[in-house]
Amino acid sequence: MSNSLIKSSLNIYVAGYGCCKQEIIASAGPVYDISRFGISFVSFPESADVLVFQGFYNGKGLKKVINIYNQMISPKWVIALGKCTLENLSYEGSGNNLLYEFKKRLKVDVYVPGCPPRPEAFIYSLLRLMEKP
Amino acid sequence: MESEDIKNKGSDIIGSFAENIENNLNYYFGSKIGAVYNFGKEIYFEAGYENLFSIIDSLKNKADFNFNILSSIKYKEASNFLLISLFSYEKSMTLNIRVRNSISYLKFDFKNITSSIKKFFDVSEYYSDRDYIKDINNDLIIFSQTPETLDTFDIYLSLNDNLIKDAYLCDEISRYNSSIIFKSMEINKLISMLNNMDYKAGIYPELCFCLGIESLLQIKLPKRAVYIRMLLCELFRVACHLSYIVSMSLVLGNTAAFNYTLTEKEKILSIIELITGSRVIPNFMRIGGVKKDIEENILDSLHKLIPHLYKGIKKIEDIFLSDVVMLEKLKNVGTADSKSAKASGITGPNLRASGIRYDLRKTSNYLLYKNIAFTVPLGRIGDNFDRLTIRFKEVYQSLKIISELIESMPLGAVGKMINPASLELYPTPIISTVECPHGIFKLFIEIKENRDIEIIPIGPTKNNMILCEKTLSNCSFDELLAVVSSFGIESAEMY
Repeated sequence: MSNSLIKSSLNIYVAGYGCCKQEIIASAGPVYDISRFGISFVSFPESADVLVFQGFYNGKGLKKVINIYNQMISPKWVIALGKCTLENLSYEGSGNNLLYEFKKRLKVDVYVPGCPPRPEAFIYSLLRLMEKP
Repeated sequence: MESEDIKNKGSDIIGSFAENIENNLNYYFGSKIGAVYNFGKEIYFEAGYENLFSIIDSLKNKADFNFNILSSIKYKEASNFLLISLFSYEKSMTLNIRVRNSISYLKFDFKNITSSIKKFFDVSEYYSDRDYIKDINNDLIIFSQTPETLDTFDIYLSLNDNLIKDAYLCDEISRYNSSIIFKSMEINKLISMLNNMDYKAGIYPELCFCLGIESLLQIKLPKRAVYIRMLLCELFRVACHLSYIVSMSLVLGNTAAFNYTLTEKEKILSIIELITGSRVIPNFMRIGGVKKDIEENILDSLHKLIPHLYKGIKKIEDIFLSDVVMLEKLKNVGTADSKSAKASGITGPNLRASGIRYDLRKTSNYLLYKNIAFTVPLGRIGDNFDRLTIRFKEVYQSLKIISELIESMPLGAVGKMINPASLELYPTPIISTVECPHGIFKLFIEIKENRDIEIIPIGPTKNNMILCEKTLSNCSFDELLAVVSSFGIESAEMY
């Protein structure tokens, strides 16, 4: 199946917890209604096309996210969301920031800055992902 | 419901008890303990490791103290920090014991300590490292995020056919070391970092920190600033309870309630955004007041919105209560009686759902809640139904408080001009508490000699997890998700 077909109905897996997740849940509600773009949330990595990682992680949480990414079937995309992952929160036992640790292991397609990013920003990031060839 | 709990409701027993306990501590233990600090409802002292167990024994069993509930054990391996909190409902006071080793750099044997405290308090084992249960309870493992709402812990179950024999909530992915984050940070920057500790109601950690520093410096606030603080607290309480209802309706499969609740929550968030500038993370509290004033037109529009909010939330409650399938999943499921609720040391709405009336807004003196008329709602038996409906009742009370606050909002300044760089902070410990939407949120703040501030949050989450585990062992597997999410566990403050 071509990428454009898959991108017309994306399944998202949201990893992590925190303030950003509140805004992602809000985007599923009737006010922002992410489902009008054919986007739906799933809770099994095997059926997901996009991995959204956000929020707080320690070493064990990081391993779990990498594990989830490996279980996903390609083609797959990754969105990094929020200040905690992008900027300054480092995880236990390492001086590096979280994004550096992630980028060593997987390729990030879209970055969404903000603390937390508004639901519009999250939806916009997915639309940009759809536009990408 | 126990009669002894109701005797103390709303009673004014703050000052005299604290002084009595302070005197008794000095009389009984003398040189065994360090200086005793009194923070109103919280008493703090240091004790050596060698005397710890004898002190705990007499605190529990002597009639002068009678601190019969283990509220929390907080251990930080990196900074060798150990704080044990004991609580008494009769006195409604908390004793915080900071344990010191005779040789300061020697690390505690934490496993040994928890097993020794287990002689006095059964719940002590829940605070120790229990990863060995992973090998025993492995009939079924539910990893975090497999159901959409449970995102901070894995559930290890041992099953007997369809009945849960034993459950273990493993929170290893949500344990985080705070010392990395708050190292040598300026106070204003620190306030903006604190709201991550409670990601559903970010105003409470900020408020807790500001109240602590203000009590140390004895700053008296303008009345309008206090009213604005109370207004924001109640707005966030409503938003937090609504997001609890969102997750409950997701788990119970009630799509109508999910959509209606998110719509009502957006109304609250838009008002919060107008006031603070952010939907989730306010960064609005300052030492000596709040960041800026609320304009009159925002207050007017909020006042007009409240009847609509009340109607909307009443409609959601009716959706839950009129549906037979929902009631079947809620009533008499996951019952936590008042005795086990007390023993696990929980606070907040989950405690009140079990029929024990304890609310810091009534019993403590913080902010100006004494000027406002409101009631503290109470549940009966502490099942899923009680835990859900008590949130609805609290939302109605909060809306009532908000409208009363707007009607009686005084005019004046909203803060004192205080430069955080020139604050006279001397080395001291501070303990500050607030009643946040899911229990009592406590911050242990230690100011060190070079103005470094170490902050350790002690939230209600761990106690909720303990009670949740205890409750699960009587449930069937079908009820698992509803019971776990009915406790509203969110572990950002488990830093």
